[in-house]
Amino acid sequence: MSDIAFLLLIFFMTTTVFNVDRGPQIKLPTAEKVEKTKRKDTIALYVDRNGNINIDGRYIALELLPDIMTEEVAANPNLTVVFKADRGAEYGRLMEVFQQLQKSRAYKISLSTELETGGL
Amino acid sequence: MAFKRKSKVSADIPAASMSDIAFLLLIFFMTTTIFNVEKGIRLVLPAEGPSMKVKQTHIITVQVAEDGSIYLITPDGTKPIPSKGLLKDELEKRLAKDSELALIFEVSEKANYEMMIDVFDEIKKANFQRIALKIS
Repeated sequence: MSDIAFLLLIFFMTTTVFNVDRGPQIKLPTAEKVEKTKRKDTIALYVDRNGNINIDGRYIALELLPDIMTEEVAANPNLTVVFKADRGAEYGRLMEVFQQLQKSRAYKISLSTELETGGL
Repeated sequence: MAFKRKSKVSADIPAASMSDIAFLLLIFFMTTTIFNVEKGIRLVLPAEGPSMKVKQTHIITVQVAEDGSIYLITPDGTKPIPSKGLLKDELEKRLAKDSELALIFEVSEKANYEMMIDVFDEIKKANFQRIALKIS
C-alpha cells in the first residue's frame, strides 16, 4: 500500500508545476470553446488594461516587440504565443500587437481565456 | 572498566507512520498539481505576403462596434445581430448552405478585448474554419 502511495507521490512531485505567473495582474476574458496548449514551446505575452506589454515578466515597448519575437521564433519555430490580455484592454492596441507579431513571423497564437462556467 | 554501555535508543527508523506521511504528501501534491497546459482560443495569423483571393459571394463579415453591437455583412446587405446566441445560429445556418464560406472578423479599435473574445467564441462554436482576423 505504501509502495503505491510513494509511487503516486513521486509521480505528482515530478509533474507538479506551481502556478507561478510572473506577469502582471490581469483579468482574462472568458470563453467556452477553449483548446489546450502545452506549456512547452510557448511564450507568454501580456497586455494589461492600460495597454502595457510584458513578455515573460519584462515590460517592453511595442517597438521592441518584433526584435524580441523574431529572435524567439528563430530559436524555436514551433513557438506559440500565449496571448494574455486584460478583458478591458482596448482592441486597437491589441491589433497593433498582432501586427508586430505578424511581422516577426510569430503566427501561432493562443488567446488565453478562462473557461466560462455556468450561466446560460 | 565498563565503558561499553548499550544504547537504549533503537537505531531503527519508525516505519509505521511512513505511509501516513506518504499519503499526506500525496494529497498535498494531488491538490496543488496543475498540469502543464494553457487554455485559450487558438488562432493562426496569416503570413505577410500575397493574400488569398476568395470570391465575394463566399465571404461574410462579422463586425463588432465599439459598444459591443454585432453586425453581419453578407453579399445581400448588412444585418444587425441582437444577441451573441443568434450569431452562432445564423453562422451555422450559412455554413451548412455553403461549406466554402470564409469569414472576416472585424473589430472596432475602440472596442475592448472582452467583446472581441465573446464574439470570437461564438464564431468558433459555429465551427468556422476559415476565419480572417482583420488587423489593419
